[in-house]
Amino acid sequence: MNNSEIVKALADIRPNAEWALTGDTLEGLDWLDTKQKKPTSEEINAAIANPLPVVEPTVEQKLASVGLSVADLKVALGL
Amino acid sequence: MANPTTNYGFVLPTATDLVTDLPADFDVALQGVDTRLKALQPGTTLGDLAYSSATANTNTRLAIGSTGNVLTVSGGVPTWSAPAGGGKLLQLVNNTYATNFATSSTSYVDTGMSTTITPTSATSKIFVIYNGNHRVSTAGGAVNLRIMRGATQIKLYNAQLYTGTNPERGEVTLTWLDSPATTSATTYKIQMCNDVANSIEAQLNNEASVLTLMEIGA
Repeated sequence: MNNSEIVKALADIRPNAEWALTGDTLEGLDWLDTKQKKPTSEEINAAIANPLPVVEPTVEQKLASVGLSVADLKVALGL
Repeated sequence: MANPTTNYGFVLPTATDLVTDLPADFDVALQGVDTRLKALQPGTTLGDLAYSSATANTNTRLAIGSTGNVLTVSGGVPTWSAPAGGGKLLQLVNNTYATNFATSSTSYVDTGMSTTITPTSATSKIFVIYNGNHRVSTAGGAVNLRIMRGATQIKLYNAQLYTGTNPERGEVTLTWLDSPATTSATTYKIQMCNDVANSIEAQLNNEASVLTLMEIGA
């Protein structure tokens, strides 16, 4: 278990929850969210063992991140 | 000579005193002189100084200061103090912290990076330098940082790292010149938060952050 694995697990099982994590163990987890319940160690360990697949951003999202659209790209490429 | 004397009121023998009274008269006069001299020279230790007090004909003892001290005035009386730095570096305190910290908080939380300094003078300034390795992982996220002096925010830095779709990581350096106006131990720390409730990190991969404090003489 390390910090990144715990962070990924928290994002998987409590998306958009607020928390703070110091170090690489669950002892360092400070639960800040008032709407979602703090997950148990078992839930987090299960999520670490079976992480949800990472969703790759779409082309549209990638372009939007630099302020472009598909239409902009077509114009730039003369399409 | 006036009797009692003009300045210190010493009572002297008079021309009409009996000769047999003279020892007692001189005893009174000289005891008065002795008491007054002690009031005027209250020093007890090598290097002590004396200055006039609010009480007439009575001086106050100022014990010798420490090596390097200079004589200044505080509250209307002389006092020993450390010399002003005059823009010079008086001390430097450097601290590192290398424990990975992650948060999804949209309110500021401690990153664990802190450093404490005890200024030698209340007029000193503290130059704060922070360097840390940060990451923001999700779309629309931003690493917002601020420097705290105790519970007081002294400088806010919005969106030091910002991401559209791909994670962004990088070294962040912050500087600020603070005037804490104290000689008490003062702790500076770094806090951060995200714009959205997703993970942002400090001390990424347990790489050390550094928070350096420099006391600059006024």
